[in-house]
Order: sequence, then C-alpha cells, then structure tokens
Amino acid sequence: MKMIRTRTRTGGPGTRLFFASDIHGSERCFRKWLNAIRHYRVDVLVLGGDITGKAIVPIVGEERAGWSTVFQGQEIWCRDEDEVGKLRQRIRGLGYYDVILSADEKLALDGDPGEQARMFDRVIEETLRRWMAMADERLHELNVECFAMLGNDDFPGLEECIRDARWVCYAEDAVYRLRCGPELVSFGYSTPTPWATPRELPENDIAVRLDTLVSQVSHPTRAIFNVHCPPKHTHLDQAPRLDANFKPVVDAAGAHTTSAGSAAVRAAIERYEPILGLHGHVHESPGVQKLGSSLCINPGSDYTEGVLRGAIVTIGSGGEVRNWQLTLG
Amino acid sequence: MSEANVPHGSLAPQSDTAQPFYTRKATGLTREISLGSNIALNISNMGIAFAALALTTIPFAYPGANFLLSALIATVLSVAPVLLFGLFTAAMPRSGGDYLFVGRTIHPWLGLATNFNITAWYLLVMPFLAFLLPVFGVSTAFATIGAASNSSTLTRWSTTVTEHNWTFGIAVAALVFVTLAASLKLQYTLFIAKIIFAVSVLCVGIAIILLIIHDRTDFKHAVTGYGGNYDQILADAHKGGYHSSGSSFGDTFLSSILIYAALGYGYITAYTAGELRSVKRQALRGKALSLAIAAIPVIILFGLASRTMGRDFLGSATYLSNTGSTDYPFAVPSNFFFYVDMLVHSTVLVAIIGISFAAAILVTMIPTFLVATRDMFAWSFDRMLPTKVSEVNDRTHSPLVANAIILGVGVAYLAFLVWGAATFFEVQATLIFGPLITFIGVAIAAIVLPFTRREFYRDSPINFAIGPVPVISLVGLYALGVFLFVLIAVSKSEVLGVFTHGGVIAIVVISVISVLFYPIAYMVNRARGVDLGLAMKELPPE
Repeated sequence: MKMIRTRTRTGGPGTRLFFASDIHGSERCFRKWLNAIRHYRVDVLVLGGDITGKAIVPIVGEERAGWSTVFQGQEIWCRDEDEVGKLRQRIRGLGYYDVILSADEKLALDGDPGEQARMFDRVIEETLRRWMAMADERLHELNVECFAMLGNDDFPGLEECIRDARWVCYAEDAVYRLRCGPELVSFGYSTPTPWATPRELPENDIAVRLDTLVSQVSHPTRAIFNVHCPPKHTHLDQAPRLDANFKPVVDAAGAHTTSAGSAAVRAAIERYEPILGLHGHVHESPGVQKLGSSLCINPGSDYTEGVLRGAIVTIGSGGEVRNWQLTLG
Repeated sequence: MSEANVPHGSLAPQSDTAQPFYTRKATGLTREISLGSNIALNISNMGIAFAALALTTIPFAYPGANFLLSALIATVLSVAPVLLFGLFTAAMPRSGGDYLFVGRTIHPWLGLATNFNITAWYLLVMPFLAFLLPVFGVSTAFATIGAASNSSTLTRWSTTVTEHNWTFGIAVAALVFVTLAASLKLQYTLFIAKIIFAVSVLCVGIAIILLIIHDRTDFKHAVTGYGGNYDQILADAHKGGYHSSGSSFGDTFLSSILIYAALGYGYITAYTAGELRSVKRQALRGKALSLAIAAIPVIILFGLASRTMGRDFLGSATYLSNTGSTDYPFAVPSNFFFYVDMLVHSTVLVAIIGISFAAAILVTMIPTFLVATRDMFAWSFDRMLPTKVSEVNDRTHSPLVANAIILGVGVAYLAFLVWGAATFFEVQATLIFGPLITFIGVAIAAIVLPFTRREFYRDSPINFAIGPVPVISLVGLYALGVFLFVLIAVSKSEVLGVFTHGGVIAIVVISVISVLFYPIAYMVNRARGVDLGLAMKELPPE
C-alpha cells in the first residue's frame, strides 16, 4: 500500500471525488479538471487516462509576412504575435498541439513522416510536463488527493512526466487507499482498437493484470476500480461501428454501434464487486450502469469543444457510494 | 521518453497538397460519414409518404392553394431547421440535440423544458401514427383489393377496421411491434428499420409512375369503377359548402406548413458528427442535399396529382368524407393512396401499395421511439428521472423500463384518439404545433449563442459573420421566423383546429410539466445532496 502525497484534511462524512477522462490534449479541459477542486468542492481528483492529443496544427509564417493556418476547416491569418498567441491558446484549448513553422519547414515536414512522428513525441512530452507544473502550482496550497494515469492513447514512458509532479500521483504505480477508506485500483490499458494505439492488451492479459492488481487490495468489495476501458456490453461502451476507412457505418436506419469495452474488465467487476467503476475510452457513450452491486460510470468526453465531462461521486463515511452526478463543465 | 526511442506518431495519409494538420494513431479519430450515408439517413427521417397525405388535407383546409408552389415554399421553409441544427451540431458535435443546445446556451432549466416538451409530443406522435394504420392503411388496402377482386368480404372489412375496437386493436399491435423492435439489440432494430424503409418508398414511386401514365379521363373512369362519380362529388361538395376558389397566394403560403411537417426533419445526421470537424462538409452539405433530393419527388407528386386527379376533386372528396356527408360515395376515408389504388387493376400492386404505406408509418415510428428513449436516458443520467429508467437489459442492452413507459403512454393516448378525439385533422394540427415550441427554443439559443457563450463561440468552427452579425444568429432569426410562421399558421386555421378541447388539454399539460420538471428534480436532488445546478455549469479554466 502506497501513501499519497497530500496535505492533511479530514474527508468528513462525505468525501467528494471528481473523475474525468479522455481530455486528449485539451489544455482548457486540463485546467478545468484542476479547477474542479474549488468549483465542485471535491476532495479527490482522478484523471482516467488518454491525456495526450491526437493532432498537431502547424502555423506557417514569420514576423514580416504574418502567419496562417487552417483550423477546423477555416483558414486563419494572424498579423502579429499577439494574434498568434491567441490562436495557439485556441488550438491548445480544443485538444490540438501547435507548432510554428516557416513555409519551407512546413513543406519539408509534409513529406517526412519520421520527422512528424518525432515532433509528436516532443510536443506531447513538453505539454505534459507543462501541465504537471501547472498542477503542482495549483495543488500545493489545496488539500486534495490527486491521481492521474495514462490511457491506451498515451505513449508508454510518459508516466515519468506525471511521476515527477509533486502533488499528482501516478495512479497505476500502486493500489492507493483514499483517506475516506476505499482503495483505488488503476489500470489504463484497453483492448485492441482499429487504430493499434500504444497501450493495448489482449483480453487474457487484461484479465491477468487486473487479477494481480486486485490481489493487492485488502477489501475488493470496498475498492474503486479506475479502469480506462469500460466493461463490455454495457451502456458505457457503445461506440460507432466503423468501416475499413474509419468511417462510421450509417445507413437509412441510423448509425450502427458496437461494443468497444473489455470482457475482462466486466468479468473483474462482476467477480470482485467494487463499490465503483470509473471508466473512459468511449467518448460517445456517457452514462451510468450498475453491474451487480457495482456502480460503473463513463462520463464520456467532449474535449473537442473544450468541455470537461466528468462525474462527481460522494463516498460515505462507511466507504459506500452515497451519490453521484454527471457534469458538463 | 519513449520505449527504445521509437517515435510514436503514425500519420495521416499523405497527399500531394499541403496537410492542414498532422495526426497520429489514436482512438476515436473517425472520419465523417459518407455523403451517401448522410443523405440516406436524413431522407429516412423525413417521411416523404406523409407529404402525400397533405394532397387531400391541403385542398380541404386551404382550397385556394397551388400544389406546386406550396411544395416549393415548404422546401424553402425546411432549410431553416437544416441550417439551424447543422450549425449547432458543428459547434457541439458530441452533445447533440435540443436538450444541450438550449441547456448549455441559455440555462439547463430551459434546456430540459424544451426537451421534455418535444419528447412528450413524440410520445403522442407515435400513437397518432399507429392510429393512421387501420384508418388509412389497412382500410384502404381492403377496400381497393376488395373492389379489384370483387370480394364483398374485403370491402366489408374495409369498413369494419375503422370501427373503434378494431382501430384500437390494430394500432396497439403496431405500437407493440415497434416497442418489440426497439427492445432488440440495436443492430437488429436498425436492420428492421432499414428493411421497412426500403419497402416504404415503394408507394411514392408507384404513385408517381401511375400518375404519369394516367390522365384525368382515366381517373374519372376509375372513380366510376369504385361507385363514385367524379363530377357529382365536386357538385355535392360545392352544394354542401365547400368553396374551392381559384388560386390564392395566402392559401398557398399557409398550406405549405403541412408539407413542411413532413420535410422539416432532415437533420438527423446532426447526431453522427466525427471528431475532426469541418462545418462546410459534415454539417451542411449532406443535409442540404437530402432536403433537395426529398423535395424533388414531393414536388413531382404534387404536380402530377394536380394534373391527373385535380385539386378540386381531392378537396371536394375530402370535404365530403370529413364532414360525414352521406354523399361521400366510398367506404374508406378520403386519402391520396386510396385514389392512387383506384388507378390500379392488379390486386398484387394494390397490396404492395398498402403494405408500403403501412411501412411508411412504421418506419417513422421506430426512430421516433429511439429518440424518445435517448432523451429519457439523458434525463436519467442527469438525475432528472430515477436511474431505473436507464437500466438496460443484459442480453439486448435495450432500456426495457423506458420502452415500457413509452408503450404505456402510447396506448393511453391511442385510447383518447380512438374514443375521445374530435377529428383526425385537429389532432394532426396539435401535433405540428406542440414540437414547434421546442424548435423556437433552439432558434432563440442560436441567436444568443455568440453572446451568452462568447469564448465557446469564438473557438467553435461556426464563428463566422456577415458584417458584424454572426451567421448562427442570422440562421437563428430565420429559423425563428419560420417556426413562428408555422406556429401562427397552424393556430389560425379554422379547419386545422389546434385549440380544440383535447388539443388545449395536451398543450397545457405538457407545457406545465415541461416548466415544472426541472425545479421539481432540482428540489428532490437537493434533498439527497446532489446539486443539479452543477450539471451543465461551465467550469472556469482559470
């Protein structure tokens, strides 16, 4: 059992936990997640994976000629650095990374997939370190337990950025006991996806790893499972069915869906019956569902709008889930 | 930082042109749905066959209406919801729907009120559609097949099925069928809906072909074959008080609302946007094309019906039928597909038209059912309703409790329609009126979005303006104008009685519950320690 770096404060009769997931590089969502402490008056903060973004928007130009980019289908021109600053803030707010390039650099980068990949590595790490510095700055004077972990879309190795933070715990490192009683079991991998993302595992491996994790828990029925991938065949894992070109399958009858969750996660929840399952991964399927006596929540994700979807859960003094609500912050 | 220093970015397809951005392999990077899928889905939600029903309603309610012009005006009016929902969806692709459009732009209270309002009306639309099945679908099919095959039994049945008990029984069967279809796994529900949709378009296609190959003389003969007299019907109706004046622009303009009621729902792909947004492509092009494609057969149908059947005949026959005149010579109520059937001499073809029209009714009920369920889910997740409502069946993953509620409300309203409603037209008009209240809420939200959610609007892909005025506000104003026009037009009509006793009760009850729903849910949740005020309140990032 690992201790958590926080300042002491009693949880009181009801401890409020705020969970969000899949912010995918949206700086506005990350800032909102940090602000949830004050705004929602919560005691525990959990970020359930898929922290990093999916796309880089190049801003092309130089001081003399001005800068331009195409963002969300719109061509945008900036005349001065002040406007570029505002544009960068907008790009970052909605889950994209920005880089400033000259026209020649842009041309070279377009034809160099290797350099594009290296650029991803660089901007993702820089951004995550900046975010963790921001978290340390905001959290040090507050009295909260704060956890974050990688999801399937985050490159292995980025854990170090979170581990280096003073006031944020890397959730997958251990089973943590919250001050209000329940133990937090965290696991950020998903089942294989059509995109072959960095942290995927077959169902069997997920089952083994979850069993190993739960074996470290003293009372699994009083635990909280912070597991990125939602349980299979629930209302929390309904994703659009895609064709070979990643286009959603839609016909005259409507949009087709498929279960994108994990059977192993479901089996673990049904076997160990934790009080709470916190999930993400499937953005389109926000909801709450009971599996046996376990309350499972996927708040979904609207990071592309800069909106932080989350869940506030109140844990009672007996370690039970007293209440919950979904939020669109 | 990475394992073995292997770079992780895996890239978007390279092209000859400059890339606007670079992507890596990541979950959820779906592309936009294809144009074909976009059009198919939108058109399936429009109910082209229902526009054909207006061919008898319009000349009865608006005797001076010009069919072609009315259809064209309806198409122009239908652009309003397409633009409104298209732009809103580009701004809020994942959220979708009036609930969050209004709730996030103005206030959750108003969002819930508008959403409850339209869901309640959808719950009433379903039994109304089921009610049409025996009255127009089955009855018409029996009458025409009976006449074509000289079967007095079928002809008798055509009257029998319009009796209260039979009407109720057949309509309940339709509601149960739709409930069962919606209770299956979603993929099976969608498969059934797709098959029914394919069948449903046949009646419109066959009608167009028949109206092309037959002229007025053929139709007059056909009417005679069914025991009527074309000219006598006109004379009896005029003698009885029906006045079909010449062409009246006022009637033409007002009548367009009845076609709009069928064409104005072509924005369902608002709920299928991808993560990489492009307002021009995803949100608007597919919906605009869908509207154009759906409007063409409707306009053709109206032109051909006017030529072959005659506007005066359709109005006169409907007048006699609706006023219960003994001069009405046919066994079934006046409706367009009955007159189309008269032109057919094949029992099989008549049966196909009958089945196809029944399919047109059912195919509209299925998505309506699913939307109502989805709304109840959203309320339950937001703690507005008990969580029991959103419980799903383990095997089918369908919300059986929500489905049962919808079926229960549907059967209750059906009983009112069968035994209590004044006339078909009064109910129809109220069902057009009710949902407009929600659409007006969405239009107002569009007007104020750039001002109430400045930062959100600035960062959205719809932040373009004409001069100083944001386009979304202009679209909201246009849509508000259209919705108010339809609202006033349907209210003012003496024939389409929105404010009948039953209509007024429904409007008042639904409006009162809509307004009280949020504060009641707020108080209940506050008592158990949940602050609903936080549900849609934007978190400040700083």
